Amino acid sequence: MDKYPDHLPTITLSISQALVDKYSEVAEDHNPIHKDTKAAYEGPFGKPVAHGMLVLSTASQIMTTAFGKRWAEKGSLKVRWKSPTAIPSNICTSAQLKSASEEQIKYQIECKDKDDILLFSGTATLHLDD
Amino acid sequence: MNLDDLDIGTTLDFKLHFSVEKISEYLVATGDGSDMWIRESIVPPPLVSAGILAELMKQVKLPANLMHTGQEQIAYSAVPANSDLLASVTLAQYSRRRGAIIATFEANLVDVTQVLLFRAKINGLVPLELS
Repeated sequence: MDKYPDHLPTITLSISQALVDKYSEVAEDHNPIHKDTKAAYEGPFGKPVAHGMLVLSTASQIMTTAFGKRWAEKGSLKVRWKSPTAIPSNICTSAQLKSASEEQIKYQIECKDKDDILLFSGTATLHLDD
Repeated sequence: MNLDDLDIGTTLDFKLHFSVEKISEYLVATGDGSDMWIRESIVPPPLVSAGILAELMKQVKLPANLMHTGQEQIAYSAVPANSDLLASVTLAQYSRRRGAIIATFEANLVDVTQVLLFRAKINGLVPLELS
């Protein structure tokens, strides 16, 4: 366990409507719940929310920062969303070492907003065997 | 085609291609400052999942109130930019439980030589009272 840090550097992201709009274009996901629309207020969250995959991108950023290309080659991620991410929001994603062996390293990943509300949690695993 | 039209086990196949320009736009849209993706010409894993989801949404009209509740993704190899890729997406679960529809899609991504590069599982929930 000594070989790997207990905590990886956190990633913060300001979720603005402009960022969400940009993500909608790139991800080709134009669901109106991601904009200040009537559909968003009448939708399942009662307000405009960010794309789950936009918020999740921070988990991958943490692992890439720590493990580089190996994350893209041998990384796996398993998460559940716990709360919707309002627009605007400031989010912070952290990773804590869960286990390490010769085969794999596992980090517990959590993403919270500035009010400490858990947005998603899960596990990021880096497979070390070839 | 609507989600209701699909039977469990139905598989949809489609082509995917991620350009370097697309990756650059994605990095800006997610605040990802790493230059590795462009330097190595590989696709960030969440963009692979987002690309699969986008193609799925083009083929299947998903309910507007569908909530993306869970995501799994496994990389077997780096996904190269500017390459022709093939995705197969299967409806693995579709059930009504506790006032909601639960749906799970499983996706495999291979290159043109059929080498498996990436797997994803997308969990969604549709509240029935709002559908």
